[in-house]
Amino acid sequence: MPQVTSSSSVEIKNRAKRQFESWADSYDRSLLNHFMFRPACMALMEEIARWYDEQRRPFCVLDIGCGTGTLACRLAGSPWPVSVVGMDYAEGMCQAASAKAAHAGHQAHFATGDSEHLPFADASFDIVTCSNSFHHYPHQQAVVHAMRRTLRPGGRMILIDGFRDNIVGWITFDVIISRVEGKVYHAPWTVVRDYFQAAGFTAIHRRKLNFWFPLLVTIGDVE
Amino acid sequence: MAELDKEFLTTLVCPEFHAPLVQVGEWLYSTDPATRRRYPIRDGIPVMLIDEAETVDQEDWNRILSEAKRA
Repeated sequence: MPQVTSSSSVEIKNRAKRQFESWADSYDRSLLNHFMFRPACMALMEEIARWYDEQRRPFCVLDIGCGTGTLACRLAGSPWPVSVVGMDYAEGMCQAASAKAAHAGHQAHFATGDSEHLPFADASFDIVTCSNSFHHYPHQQAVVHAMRRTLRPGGRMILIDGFRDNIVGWITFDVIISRVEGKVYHAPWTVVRDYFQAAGFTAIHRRKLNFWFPLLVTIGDVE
Repeated sequence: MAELDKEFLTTLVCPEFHAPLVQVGEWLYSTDPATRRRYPIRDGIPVMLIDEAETVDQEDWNRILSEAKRA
């Protein structure tokens, strides 16, 4: 990814924060929710089910960029023996998520936090997820390292973001979304794979979701 | 003032120096005597942003942490 100076990275993060704070109320009803966030959430549930089929033990999930807590609520309402923590950079999102979980009677915990400075102890989680948020991060490699730090042995990282390695994805993310959201970076698969390798993940693989609004799902394990 | 879930609290650390935290009222205090940060809990949600941290002075920190330990 292009080098980011510290002043521009602060500006990028503040911009994202403003965008999402003002979006917290209408987020669940937006078109993007229908075309991107919901399929991403379904894919995360499938990947988590796959992990659970392999491991069959109680587990903890951290969802980074949890938004209004859609995944956290689904997990907390699932029959799995799971405890869930959601984190978002926008405080308004965490409040919306917490209210949504409480309303549904689900047990989930939320914290406002910065993906580059994760407020979690080493080896605290079995699964870390991050969906449709990674392109806002000015220092993506550092974030992948931090995610790896919070995972336990046997854990799994599941990252979903815009797939820009074909023409549909390139137009969607590098042209349209970048115009709307400003300085964001949708990393190609080879770059994401390198981030994962550098952070020490193993069994790194990917899948692609959707024809329109294509999404890249990257999965890596901790030995 | 609602106490945070114990298990959740043990996963939280100071985002800057990674020290464990204790809850006292509406604040989470770092247990690291060298850095002594505290983070607010607003509407039951810990706000774990470095920009939101305050540095507690030594005396206050000693008192608060020893009281927390006793409780």
